[in-house]
Amino acid sequence: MSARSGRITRALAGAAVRGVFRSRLGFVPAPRRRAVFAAEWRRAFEELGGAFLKLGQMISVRPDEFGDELAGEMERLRDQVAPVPFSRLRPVIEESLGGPVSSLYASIDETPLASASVAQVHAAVLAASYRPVWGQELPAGAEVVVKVIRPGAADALRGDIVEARRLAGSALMRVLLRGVDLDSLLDEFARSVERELDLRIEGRVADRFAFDFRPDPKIVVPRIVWTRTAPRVLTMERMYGWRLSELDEAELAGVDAHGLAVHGATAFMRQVMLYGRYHADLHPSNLFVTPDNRIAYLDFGIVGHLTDAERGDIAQVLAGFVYRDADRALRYSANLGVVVPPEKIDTVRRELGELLDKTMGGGSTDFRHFGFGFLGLLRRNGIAIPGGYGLLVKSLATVEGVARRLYPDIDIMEVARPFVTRMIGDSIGRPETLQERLPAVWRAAMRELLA
Amino acid sequence: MADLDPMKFFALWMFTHEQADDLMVQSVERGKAVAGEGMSGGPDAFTDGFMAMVAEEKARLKAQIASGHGDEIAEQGDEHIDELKFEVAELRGRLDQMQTTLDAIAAHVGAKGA
Repeated sequence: MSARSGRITRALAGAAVRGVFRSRLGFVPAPRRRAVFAAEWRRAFEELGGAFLKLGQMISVRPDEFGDELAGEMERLRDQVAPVPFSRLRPVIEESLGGPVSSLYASIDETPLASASVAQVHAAVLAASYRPVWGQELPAGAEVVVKVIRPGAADALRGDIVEARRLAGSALMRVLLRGVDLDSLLDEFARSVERELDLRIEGRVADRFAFDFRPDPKIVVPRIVWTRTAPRVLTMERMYGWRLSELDEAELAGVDAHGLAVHGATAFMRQVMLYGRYHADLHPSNLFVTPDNRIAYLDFGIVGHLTDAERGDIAQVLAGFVYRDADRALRYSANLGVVVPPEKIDTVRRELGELLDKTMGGGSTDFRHFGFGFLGLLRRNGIAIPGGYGLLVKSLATVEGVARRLYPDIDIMEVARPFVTRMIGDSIGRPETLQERLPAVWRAAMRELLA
Repeated sequence: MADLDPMKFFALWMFTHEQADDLMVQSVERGKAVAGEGMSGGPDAFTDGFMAMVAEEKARLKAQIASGHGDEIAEQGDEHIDELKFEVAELRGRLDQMQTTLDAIAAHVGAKGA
């Protein structure tokens, strides 16, 4: 057993033992027990770093699979590690871009702006102008940031995944994480890690987002410098502003918090329901508020994709939530893979109605509680939740949280209401919808007239 | 079948329209009230909310007609051109990146040969 392997086993076994001890051998109430274990797993993941930080981030966006407590706890994971000296990154940049750093950039700051487990970010200045895929030209002398994969990060991550697979096969893990499909989770995780190790993918997603938001002057996406980009190096425009976690400072500078909160939430709805691509990892450090009252999106590591049919069904499900129409929500959820067996329809409909009344009625709404409550309701009733559905609910809850950081009184469902109504209204005008629905409309009208 | 009395036919036609108009106005009013209060419930709430938005759209359309602007078709055309421009630009970005990789390989091979 390697040193790393021993460390992983000790950290995870230690977390399990502490969890059992702190939950008084499991005799505390179930929610408390889950919270205790979640905190222990989070601490162990933080201690282990590497792939476990990434795995924790992935768990944080999957409350459908891991439950609210663990997903919520993993949101607190901070991917901040001690920086590596620039002298170790220089060969990565020079090997990837084919020249000495001094000829590639006018200047580069050897002190990092940020340092995470996979990559480190340095400020730099462009030596030559560049015409990006979308947006205005970046002139020579433009400020950029250079994101570089840390040397050895890829091997360490892949090694950790092998270890995680070995541990996933152990009887202890199967008991502790019963109900979780560990094999497919680790497969998905390995794929996402490979994507993250190729920074060109993030650059392409950023370009696409910049294009999608071209009519919106309030949204800004950093421009990518493709002549200074390779699988292990990404050069992009530098953004200035405040991370949402530093909002007090921004408010002091006179930012329109309410306008930005509404705009940010609407922008997310547009991503989901119009473009079919959405930023699925909108934690506060991935969003900037710029001094000129704009929202800057950063870090496109986790992106959700939707087909045209899924977009329409999601609009319908959201309309069901917004208008507290449980039947509509369940009918279209079935199209998204949330299939309620006939014998459970009445129970689920009743429980969903109660949940809607409790969390979305009475003039104020709480989508986070509703969304996670809904996923919990489905789990309790043994109904499988597709990954994409869970990711979307989690993303909406996160958008609500982010918008509330900007403006605590925002009602995310009030923002969604006109949006989904229009989406569904627009779909009526499609010839295929008319062809599908008109016979039923005619039959219903005649039935009423002749009743 | 008895001959259709034109007066009766038009009266029925007018009555149907009047009824439909009243129902539509009521639905719009209910939809607007929902917007003010926040949430309502059930499938009818969606229909009312939708009708309220249709009424807003009608007001916008009237204003657009009154102002003499109505060139949305041209905008749609621009959108297709934008898509095409993006696809070409994205291809250019990929080529720029490939050129960088080629330069890096050439530099690597050159350094080895030297």
